Amino acid sequence: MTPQEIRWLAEAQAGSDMAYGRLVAAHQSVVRGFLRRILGNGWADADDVAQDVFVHAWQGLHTVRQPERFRSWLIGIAWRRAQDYIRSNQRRARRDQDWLQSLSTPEGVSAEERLSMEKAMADLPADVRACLTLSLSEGWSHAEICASLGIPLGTVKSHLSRGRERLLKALGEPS
Amino acid sequence: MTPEQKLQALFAASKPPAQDYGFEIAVLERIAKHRAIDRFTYLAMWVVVMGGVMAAVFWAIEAGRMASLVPIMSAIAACGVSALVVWTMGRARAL
Repeated sequence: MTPQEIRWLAEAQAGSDMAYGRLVAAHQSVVRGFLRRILGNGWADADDVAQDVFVHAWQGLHTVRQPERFRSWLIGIAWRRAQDYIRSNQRRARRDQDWLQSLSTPEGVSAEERLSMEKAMADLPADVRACLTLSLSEGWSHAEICASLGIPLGTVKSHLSRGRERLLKALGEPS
Repeated sequence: MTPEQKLQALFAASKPPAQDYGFEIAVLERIAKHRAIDRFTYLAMWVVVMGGVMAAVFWAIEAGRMASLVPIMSAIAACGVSALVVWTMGRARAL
């Protein structure tokens, strides 16, 4: 959290929707990226859940005691909402692959490698996907992942190690 | 490119844009709706309470029983003061 974000948080807690809008703008990418990786079923579903997360966070703003941990707190809400969503959408557990078509393939990576990595990611349990997303996409530390997801530090480390190994294997690295 | 670099590139490519006005507006619209519902509920509650009080006063005036209103009015005043104290403490804690 930057000092400016901490100020926006204080203003939002005092009732400013404009300040909260700025916080949404600053954190939407992390929350949506996280949920897209966890839920998979097309980006529209993940974005719906992300909107719920921000509305829920707005309702609970007064409970934030440590402004510097706002990001972790937000991802914690997103994680719990994602788990609820996964539980209530068991029938859709077979992840829709159409959304993969909308992803761009970066230079130096073939379409087959991308699909292979996405399939390996989809086959991982949700908590492993959550740890990998925060670590690889956002560069979060183990401690921060542990704090926001409520998963023990040792479990975070083993999830990351096991998950990375699976994804790298899917990308052609010999095990 | 090594598999490690490919992994990093794939994760970086799937990140949503840093700025998305459509998403931000959608969130703020939902918050505005929640706020409107909260305000309506709050106002409706006061209308019901004030309506009840006024009905009781009019009934007492009509029936010439102002003295019988004292216990009811005391209870309503006590509830009002308690609600005000709880609300003020909640706001103070939030700030």
